[in-house]
Amino acid sequence: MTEPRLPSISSTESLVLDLLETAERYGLELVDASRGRLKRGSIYVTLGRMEAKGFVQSRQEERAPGAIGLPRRLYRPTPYGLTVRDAYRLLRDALALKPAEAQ
Amino acid sequence: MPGTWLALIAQRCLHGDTFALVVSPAIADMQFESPAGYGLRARHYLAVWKALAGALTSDVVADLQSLRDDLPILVTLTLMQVSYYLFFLLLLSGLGTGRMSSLLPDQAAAMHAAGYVAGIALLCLIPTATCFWPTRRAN
Repeated sequence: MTEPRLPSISSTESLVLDLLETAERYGLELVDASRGRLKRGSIYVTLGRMEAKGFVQSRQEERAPGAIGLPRRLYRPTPYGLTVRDAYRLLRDALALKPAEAQ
Repeated sequence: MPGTWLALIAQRCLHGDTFALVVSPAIADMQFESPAGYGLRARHYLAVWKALAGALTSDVVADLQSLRDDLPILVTLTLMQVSYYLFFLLLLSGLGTGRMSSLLPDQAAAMHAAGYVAGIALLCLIPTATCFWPTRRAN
């Protein structure tokens, strides 16, 4: 019998979830809000991967009739994504404790 | 509109869902911000190209992984074609005549022959892999 695979979350994904927790944002908005911690070139691949993992949800913005260009995609975190982030944060904190503190 | 031709290329190359989730948002953000300066525009384009490269890599990796199930038949079909073409190559090289036996001990000729075999194998693999390549996913 195979054990279920635990979800994994990187520090970048965790940061994206932090930034999305307060408001629905689009890719470049996340880059600006991160103050240099997220890169323009990698944010879209990261967001695509996070959506595939179920950490974020996205929707296309509503456009005014006659608007040209592609519609932007707005992202928001899923409850599952936030749960995984919080669980990993707890785990990191627990592992960072010194053995004496843990007792 | 900046990025229109990039969107057309990406739509042609990528799976529908990959395009919608990775490249389309990058192009849409670039079009929305409509950068004025040359430097900023170049940075936006670079970001879109990076997104396109990342999306293409993930699509190719996923496609290759899904080809794993067809690997035995893919190898068999390729070997059949390679055998067919090698047979004619051996005939042309003078099998059964004195020429062939005089060629074999020569290391340069052996390397030449190995090059031919590798080339034929590659040329046979391309159409076989194309036939078995997974169809593109829609949105």
